[in-house]
Amino acid sequence: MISETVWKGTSRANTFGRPGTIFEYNFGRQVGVDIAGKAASNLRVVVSPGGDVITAFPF
Amino acid sequence: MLTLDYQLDPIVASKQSNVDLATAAPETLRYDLFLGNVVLHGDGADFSASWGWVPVLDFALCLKAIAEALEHSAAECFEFTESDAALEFRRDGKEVEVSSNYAPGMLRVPLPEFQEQVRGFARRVIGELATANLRLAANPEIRRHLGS
Repeated sequence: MISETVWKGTSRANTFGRPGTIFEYNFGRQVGVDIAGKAASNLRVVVSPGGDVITAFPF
Repeated sequence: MLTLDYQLDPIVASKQSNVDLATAAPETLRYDLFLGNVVLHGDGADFSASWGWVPVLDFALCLKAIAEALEHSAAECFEFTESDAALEFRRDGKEVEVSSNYAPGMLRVPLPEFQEQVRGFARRVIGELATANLRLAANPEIRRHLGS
């Protein structure tokens, strides 16, 4: 799922001096829960400048 | 009046002792180290994040950048690193409105007061972390912020 998010998702620069790039992708089905505990279909992945996955979570 | 504070998780901190803080990469400093809770409350709302995993240094640096950006922009958003929890900062005239997607209520603070408190908080966080971890003060990422 992380790879799919990076391949197919939208990307944007990380925020406020944080290094890396943010990728986001909507899988069209539930992939987890958000901060409120509701069904979430998006995955956010943060990739470092060196290409390592820093973090990933549903929203 | 805002209250800004933090508590580091001592268990997580003990596991970080094998990291060379002088050479730790920016992403390590911003995401992996100095995890704990952050306190942000005032009259009307409490947006404290007592989740134990909030990267405190990153929180302080982001708030500092947001306070500076609000000088010219109408709104900024702080996204927590490990969930979709977020804080919204919106200019309304000479005040800043703070709200979140994880706790009810809204804080209203004059922009100069917000900027002063956030700068003070960031200075305190960086100073205390660098004092407690002397090699951190040698890290180029931290040196950019020391004394600012």
